[in-house]
Amino acid sequence: MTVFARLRRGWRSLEAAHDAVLLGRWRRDLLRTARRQEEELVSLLLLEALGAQSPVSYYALEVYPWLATRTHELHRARGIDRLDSGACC
Amino acid sequence: MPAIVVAVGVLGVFFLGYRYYSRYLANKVYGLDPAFVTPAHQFNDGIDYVPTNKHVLFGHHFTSVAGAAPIVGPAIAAFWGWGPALAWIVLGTVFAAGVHDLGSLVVSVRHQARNIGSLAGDVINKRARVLFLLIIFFLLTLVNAVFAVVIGNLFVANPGAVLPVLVQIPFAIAIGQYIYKTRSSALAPSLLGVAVLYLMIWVGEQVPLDITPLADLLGFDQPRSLWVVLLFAYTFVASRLPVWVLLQPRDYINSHQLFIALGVIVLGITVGLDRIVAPVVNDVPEGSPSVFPFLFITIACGAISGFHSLVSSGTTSKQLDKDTDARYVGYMGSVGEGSLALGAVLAVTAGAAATQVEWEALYADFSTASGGAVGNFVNGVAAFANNLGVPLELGAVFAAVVVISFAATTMDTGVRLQRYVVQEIAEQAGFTPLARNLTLASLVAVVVPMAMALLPGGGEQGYTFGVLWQLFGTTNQLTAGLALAVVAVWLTRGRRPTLPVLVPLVFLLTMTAWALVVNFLSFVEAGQVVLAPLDGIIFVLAMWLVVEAALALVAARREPAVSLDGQTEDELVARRDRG
Repeated sequence: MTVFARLRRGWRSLEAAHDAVLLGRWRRDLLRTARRQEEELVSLLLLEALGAQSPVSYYALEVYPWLATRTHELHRARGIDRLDSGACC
Repeated sequence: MPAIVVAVGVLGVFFLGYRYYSRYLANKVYGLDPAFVTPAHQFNDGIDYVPTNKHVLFGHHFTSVAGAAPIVGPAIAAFWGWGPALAWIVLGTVFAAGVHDLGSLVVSVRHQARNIGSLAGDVINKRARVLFLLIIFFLLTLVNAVFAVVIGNLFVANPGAVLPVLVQIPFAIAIGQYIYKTRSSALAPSLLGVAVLYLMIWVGEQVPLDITPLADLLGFDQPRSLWVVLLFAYTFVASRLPVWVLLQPRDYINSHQLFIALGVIVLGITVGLDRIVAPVVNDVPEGSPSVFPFLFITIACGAISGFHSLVSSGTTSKQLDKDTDARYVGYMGSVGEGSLALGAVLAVTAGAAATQVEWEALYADFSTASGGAVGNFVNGVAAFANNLGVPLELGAVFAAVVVISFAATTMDTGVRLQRYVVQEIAEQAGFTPLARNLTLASLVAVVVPMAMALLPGGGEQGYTFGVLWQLFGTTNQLTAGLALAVVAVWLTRGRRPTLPVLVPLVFLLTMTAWALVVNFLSFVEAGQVVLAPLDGIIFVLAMWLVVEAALALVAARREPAVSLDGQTEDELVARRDRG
């Protein structure tokens, strides 16, 4: 292993230890924030699926590409090569 | 006497305390069990409940409990001489704080990692829950008030510290955004943050920002009052932001500062071999507050602090990997805080003055001592940094920035917690508009301590600081008393030894009640229309706590003994499988 590679590995270990001590305290707040955002998104999608007008339809347009990608990953992971729903592929 | 000798002696006693007394507590009193399935395993959700390596968890715990309070209290208490101050720090840490921090952690772990307020309701009775909320309300009000005054005084005395502290805010926000968006490690950005902060300390020393002209223009009685108003306006806004926006990235920078400051103190006294110039026991002027009971409420954090029970039972208990790790995490947390208090005492007794005559001028009377305590700490650390080649003026700005950063983070957290307490009290009182409105609750959480901090007082530094600090100390000790009462009742039910818990509990409640009565009489005599009723209310809470604790202990003695494992049949099966 080269000196550079050793230094790089040492730095990565230091980063991991540093984040374990410092980031850990705040991890639950970050995860809670992420979970709340995801729950809000799911709630809005559910509203739309049930036919209710979503108050943020226009602003949610930018997440549709992300949704299409996630849908694509999902059906590929389930062993379905193509999904003829028009959402992806 | 060389400060390093005292430091080594105190750290030696801390080591013996951990080695022997914490082992006795862990084995004989709390009965820690390596096979016990902790809540981190029982309810592992990857968010709140996460089994965590004990060294990492100690890092979380220590950085959560360490702040400006173990600096300010000991810096004031040096007024009685370094002997009494260090004696209380050592005895308090080994025989009271260790018992309290470890006990509140264990009792929480044995009750599904519930917090001490909820445990007070369950282990003692429902009224104890209301008592807890009221004590916490006053504790947080006084915490926010005293730290606003501390920061205001430091900004006025060290205008060079204003710029670095101001620049830290947008820089911390930028770091937070970067880490949040890129999901990268926090090490490089936080080191960069520390580097920028120290660069700004140098710039700040060249460009001091004095707001006295603005304060005069706006009609404030003193510049500190303007700072107090600005600080509370800032905390109101900051407390409404998600934690990752400001509080979290600023904490990365501050955690580095904590270890850097401790390193400067240790290295400074090792290299410089500074001698303690303060007397072992100070011959205080007649009419000054006496050692008994005031020393024991002046040094709360650093000897024993109820705030630690909130951290132990709030977050630490949810992450404890093994029951037996509690000894290391809980007891060492109190030792870490005691070490910070030791550093503060050494800074004000060995660093702040070169001769005993100089020191006696700094601690001429209690008003001077309490008003100038933080400034003395700042100058003491600057002297230690000077031993390492840092210019005195630059060292003073560095130390001021450290204290301000800790105090500002405490205020941020304090206002955040206070608004929840306000909402819960409003809910219990049936006052729905306040209970449901976060903005209104935040406003109450900000306005009440701001009014306390702006109370008019005499003296250049504002004598209200010393008085507010003592009131803060009493509420902090009452919180510790409540936590110790919960632990004592729990141990009594399990027929475990209770003396190690009852001795600090009785001592704390006696000192707190005594101090409250003495202060109440002096407030009434001085016609203090705000402080006298406030002191009276806190005294009533103290007496309420004494009655509830006594009743609960008597009732627990009459009940049949119960197992303190607190685990169901399914959990015991899981425990056997794990074992």
